Amino acid sequence: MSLAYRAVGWNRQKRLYDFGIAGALLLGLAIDAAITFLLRPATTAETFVIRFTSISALLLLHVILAIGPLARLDRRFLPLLHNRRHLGVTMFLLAAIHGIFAIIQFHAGGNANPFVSVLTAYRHDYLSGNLAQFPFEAPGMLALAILFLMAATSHDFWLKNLGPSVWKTLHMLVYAAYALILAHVFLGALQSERSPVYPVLLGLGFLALVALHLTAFAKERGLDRQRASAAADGFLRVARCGDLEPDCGKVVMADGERVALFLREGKVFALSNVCRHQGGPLGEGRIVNGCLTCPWHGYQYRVEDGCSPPPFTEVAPTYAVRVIGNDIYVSARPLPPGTQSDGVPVHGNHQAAPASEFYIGWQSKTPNGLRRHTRIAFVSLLALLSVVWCGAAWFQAPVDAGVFEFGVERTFEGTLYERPLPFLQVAARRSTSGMNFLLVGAGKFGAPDVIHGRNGQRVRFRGTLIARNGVAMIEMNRPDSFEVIGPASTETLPVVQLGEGTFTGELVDTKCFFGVMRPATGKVHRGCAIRCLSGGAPPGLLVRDEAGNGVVLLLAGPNGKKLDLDVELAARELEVRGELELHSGTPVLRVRSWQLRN
Amino acid sequence: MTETIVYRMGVAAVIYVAVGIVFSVPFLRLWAGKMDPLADAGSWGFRLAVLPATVALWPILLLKVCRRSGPPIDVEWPIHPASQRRLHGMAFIIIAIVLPPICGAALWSRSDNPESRVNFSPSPVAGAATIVRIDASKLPIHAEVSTGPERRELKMEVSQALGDPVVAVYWSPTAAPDGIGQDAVFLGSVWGPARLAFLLPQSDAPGVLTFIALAGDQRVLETLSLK
Repeated sequence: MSLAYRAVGWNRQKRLYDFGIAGALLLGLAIDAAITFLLRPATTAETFVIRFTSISALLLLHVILAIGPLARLDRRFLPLLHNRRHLGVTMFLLAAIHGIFAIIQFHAGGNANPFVSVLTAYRHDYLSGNLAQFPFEAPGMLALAILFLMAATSHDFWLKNLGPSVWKTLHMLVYAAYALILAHVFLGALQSERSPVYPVLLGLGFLALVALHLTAFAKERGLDRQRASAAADGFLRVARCGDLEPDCGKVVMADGERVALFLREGKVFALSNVCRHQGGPLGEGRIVNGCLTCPWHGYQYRVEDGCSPPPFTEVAPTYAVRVIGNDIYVSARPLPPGTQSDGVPVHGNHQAAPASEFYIGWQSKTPNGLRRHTRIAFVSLLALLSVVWCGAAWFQAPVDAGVFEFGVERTFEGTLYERPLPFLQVAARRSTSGMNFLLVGAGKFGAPDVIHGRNGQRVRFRGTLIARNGVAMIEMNRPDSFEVIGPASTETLPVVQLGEGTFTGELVDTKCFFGVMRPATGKVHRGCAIRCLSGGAPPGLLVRDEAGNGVVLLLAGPNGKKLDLDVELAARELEVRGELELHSGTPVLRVRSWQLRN
Repeated sequence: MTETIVYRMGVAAVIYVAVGIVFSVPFLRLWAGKMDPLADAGSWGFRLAVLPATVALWPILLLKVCRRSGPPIDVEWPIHPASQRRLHGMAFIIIAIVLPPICGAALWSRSDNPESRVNFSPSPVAGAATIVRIDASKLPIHAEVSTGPERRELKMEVSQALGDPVVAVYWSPTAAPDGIGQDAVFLGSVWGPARLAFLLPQSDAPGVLTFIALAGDQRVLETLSLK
């Protein structure tokens, strides 16, 4: 409650809450970074950011969704509920970082607009009926849009000016966002991450949320089903005098509506149970400084007329009260808003009991007992989150080593070969067989046009080295440095025929696989692989040898023809038949036929 | 076709956001205060906090400004609390029913673990493996040569970073006094910790494996003869 809007109504409790969120995230960052870079030092920084933000956002979403029912089941969790919107905004920011990094890494720098690429990279699989290949990016984007709307409208200005109906409906979409995010994870990351730890953790989180929500729902439903005894004159018997505690509320049912009964200075008052701010349960509140105070966000009302103390303007309807004998009756219908009531005296000992603890978010201090409980809850939550962060980092799929000398330029000089794939052969000592470097362009593109028509010529240019598993590649990110330094020779690339064979493996784009991306395979990388292949990066078939080592067979067309392969097959398993050749140490498979395996 | 539609939707979204940004200037300076008196005295932090939603929801706000309507005034709380509670409960019941089959089916339909598949065997190597001894003080490499009826394979395990320059591996049918000969074939290069497999072009002929530092003076680091 305030007379002018501010970005955040800071107080000590809010600061503590936000320090708690920041501290927990820093702890998670430290745990994740330590385990990831210790176990898988080849992990790139951007891959780490994408993974950490996704895991953390998902964890925070579970916490956010658990706080509501927890607070309904046990009021001691109300301090966590009060600033839940800070958790929500933090969760959105993490999800946004995840989304932005993923779009830049996997879809930017190619031959299509990154946002178009995210939604259309493998568009035919929307309706292919193959769930494992369904484009998982779409549910993630939709969830992010919902989270954005929720975070952007979390200020009270929007609650008031959009109206509670629109605002509450909008924020109910969090359940849709949760479902979309789980679909995004199961259809995306979990198609590549093979450890059962991830589905088990997500399953446990899901079960916990379902159990909490359904338990809270059942508790509330039980109260809603209570029927008041009818009496004359439209009054209903709702409680007995002994049920009320001084300055504490009690929720009763009157003709299908919840009514908040209060005992103040020996008199009974009845108001609507619904707070005008966010619909909080006034009957679970307390009388503080003479005003009924909502347990959710501390909005206050006078019990005599239901009006907020000036200058505030909220009004909660009051109900007429009667006390007959030891029974309390309220009218079935509320009185007109602002109707004054003097309360109805009840007999008995109505001295105010020692004030039991009640949390009000806008006060600077939390009562001692609640503070202790909140600390225990926070530390327990932190321990649980730490275990999950540890598990999520520990069981990640291994990342293969590769080299991408990003930002480092070297000068390369050698003989250029355009076929079967663009190579630069760098001579070594007196051997006729030099070292082969595959050539690609900057971003998600194949070798630039400057190499065309230069077959067999000696050339020099600057570029960046990419290497993995004995295969090297040059990113020709400085085409302007390209120069021809010698005439074309008649020599061809030495070729050793290894015979015809059938190979089964994943179609990869070699630029990412040889070192630019780690990992560079699987469903999560599919969009990027499609962009790279459609941009001209050489395709490869990732097969496994007896030792489980990944070997990439570069794919080329048969008999010097162009390879005809749909780029949407990237990251999918193919069975390819062709002739295997060794081009100065580099295996090249001349594709005769192929078929899809998954 | 699909790309064009999505691209046009993207362009429409950019135009929508641009109009929203333009709209937000007068809205946050003037109209928000008229719509809601509490916003009139709102801080700049508040205006910044509500800016994203102003940009996102500008058509609704424009309508409100044009109608000169303030915040909705509800005598009754507009959503019946019991139905709201029911909605929350129903939402989770629906999620509990719909989501597990989708997630389960997604796991069920994922492809086999490619790590477990062995398929790089056009002509399987069936023969005794030869451990190639490399002086560990020169190169931290463990190498093994397997010889089959049609091909020969060199497998190497590099235990630590070799640094820069890289090490290039050559196969040559004949030995040369100062390293690799004219007929040497480049097998591949090694940068750091890795397990590598190189096909050797001849299956049974004797030959020489040569490891050289690729950059600089291209000095020979190790030479190994295979009988």
